[in-house]
Amino acid sequence: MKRWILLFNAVILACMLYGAGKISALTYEACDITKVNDRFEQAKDGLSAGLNRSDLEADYGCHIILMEDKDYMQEYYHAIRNGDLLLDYFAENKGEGNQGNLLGKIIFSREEDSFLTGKRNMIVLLIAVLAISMAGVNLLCYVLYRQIIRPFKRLERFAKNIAVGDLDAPLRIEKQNYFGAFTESFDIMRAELKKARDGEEKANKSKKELVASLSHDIKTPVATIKALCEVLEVKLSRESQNYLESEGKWRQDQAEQHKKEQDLCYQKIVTIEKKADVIDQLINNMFHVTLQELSVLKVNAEEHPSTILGDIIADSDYEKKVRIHGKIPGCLIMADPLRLSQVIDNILGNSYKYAKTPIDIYAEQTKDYLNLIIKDYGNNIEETDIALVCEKFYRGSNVANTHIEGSGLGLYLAKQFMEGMEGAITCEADSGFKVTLSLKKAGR
Amino acid sequence: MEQTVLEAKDLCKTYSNGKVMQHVLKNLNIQIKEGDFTVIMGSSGSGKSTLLYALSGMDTPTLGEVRFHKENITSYSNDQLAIFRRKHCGFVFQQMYLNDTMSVLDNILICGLLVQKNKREVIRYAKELLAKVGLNEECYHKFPTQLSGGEAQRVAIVRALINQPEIIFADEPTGALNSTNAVHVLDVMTKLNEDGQSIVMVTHDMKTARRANRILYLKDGVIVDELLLGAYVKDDPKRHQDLRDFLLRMGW
Repeated sequence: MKRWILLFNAVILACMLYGAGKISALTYEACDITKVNDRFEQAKDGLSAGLNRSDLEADYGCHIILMEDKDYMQEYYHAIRNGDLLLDYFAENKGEGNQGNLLGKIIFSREEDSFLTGKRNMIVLLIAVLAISMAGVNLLCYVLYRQIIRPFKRLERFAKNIAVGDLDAPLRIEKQNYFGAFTESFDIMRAELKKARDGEEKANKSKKELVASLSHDIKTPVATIKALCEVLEVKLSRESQNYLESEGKWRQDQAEQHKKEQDLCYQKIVTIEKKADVIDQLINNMFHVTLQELSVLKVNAEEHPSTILGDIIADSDYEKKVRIHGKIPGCLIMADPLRLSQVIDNILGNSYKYAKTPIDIYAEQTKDYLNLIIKDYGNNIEETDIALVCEKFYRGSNVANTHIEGSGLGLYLAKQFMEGMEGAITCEADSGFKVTLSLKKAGR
Repeated sequence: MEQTVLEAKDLCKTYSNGKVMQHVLKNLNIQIKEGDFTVIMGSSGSGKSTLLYALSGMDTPTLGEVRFHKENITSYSNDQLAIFRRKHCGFVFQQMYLNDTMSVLDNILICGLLVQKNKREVIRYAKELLAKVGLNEECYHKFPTQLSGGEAQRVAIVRALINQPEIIFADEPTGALNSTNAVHVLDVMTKLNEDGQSIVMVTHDMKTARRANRILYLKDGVIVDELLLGAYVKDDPKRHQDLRDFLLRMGW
């Protein structure tokens, strides 16, 4: 299509150029004696044939004066004054060597050669027509392209995007276009597809989250079962001890019977405990797998300058309670900025939730690690909780009666992340809650 | 106890090219004692030259600090660094960078007069040093183009020494020399070190490395190991063997 339009344009342009060339050639033609001679001969023949004088004048762009005219001399002198081209018009040959009588003159005016002007005008008109038609065709093509071809191309691209799964790129709709409504329905289709897919994703995610929280819920009763089993085991062994000591009181067969029963009981309890352990293990695995699928555990540690720590802390400090003491030593650390910011976010968030005091942060350096110490002055953490706060789903004993929202996952994940960065997290109670993030220095 | 002349703490150098960050030096810790002849080895691209430039104040490190006699030079401005280098450091490179339009003596004096004002004293000291590196009076008024590579390098060494620097930094000083000339130059360096001059040198060459009493091996911007050789003894087979074992272990 494009090629044809180009070809058409080229042809028209060539024609126009040819015409323009012709126009410039005409100016030369005015001085071209042979051409003038041709016209003279033709005019002369016309006169001889008795054609109308004024017609001939118009056709050949000349002026004819005859001897018989009244103002012959006047015109003659006028032409000479003008420096026009004067050619003699003789009567037809009457005999050899005899030119016949001079009948008049045929004058080709130097200035207004109406013959040439006529010709030129015609060419100019032709060129104008060509130019207009070219512009018209081009405009038509452009309108066609805009109205029909471009929407289709857009549609094609759009379909490709959808095919590769990019449902976010909308289709531009031009309401005044003939295809407006048509394309709109395509865009509605895309929006619906996107909604469906997002819904599916959300459903999947919530399913996984359900699994995660269910495994949490299951853990508690399982832990109870395990604890009870242990109690029972201890009790049974103590009973059998007691029984052995007081053997005398029992009859032999009775005693054996009792012992057998107790052994059976004991074995069953051991089995229950073992199975509870298995369930615990399975839940743990399931939980881990779900978290991994939710892609919350991937850590991508790279070498970064320690200057990023300042930015991360500033970004996470929503309540502006952090006071950074001293300068963070400059070195290159192994870190995943995204995960590290999650860790710091969590620690600061915990402090906002539980301590509500200013937070002091300072950094220390050891040979292989950069330690970031984050400390608050909330005085409500139990000594016994400290060792467990980094465990999965563990929430401190003080939480129960404060109704603070939380899942008990934050510090567990923080620990996972820090270990993923080859670092560590340690928690201490030091007139408040003190967290030490150890970041490994690069190259150690 | 020898005094620490130069000390680097958690030295990092990062070159960034748009979005890509290239960490060339990663948390390097180095101490250079007075009178040490330290050689830095490593495969190409491991950051040897970058380390030398960062240590000598020719380039500023991205992170970490360099201390010269307990003074932190990383906080210096460019002008302060220039004065520091001029007063306390001597430089010898693979190319000698002698000025071809000046005579040997002038080449040395132009550096000497930047720091010391007494011209006669500087000339006397330059001549003394030239004699020490084995260049006699004939050389004084020659031009660098008339010297052999080894002679030119020895002139460069004298130029490095003229301000009595505390430490000499050499970046492959024998790289452009043939083996006889290299031995000459190395002998000069060894002799200087025996007289108590601290030298830090980057090299690729085992023969050159053998002169050092301490060898640091750099790999991907980290000092992976170091070897202490003790004072140089000529043609000591054990020294040679130790060095070879060390380099083999490092994957040389």
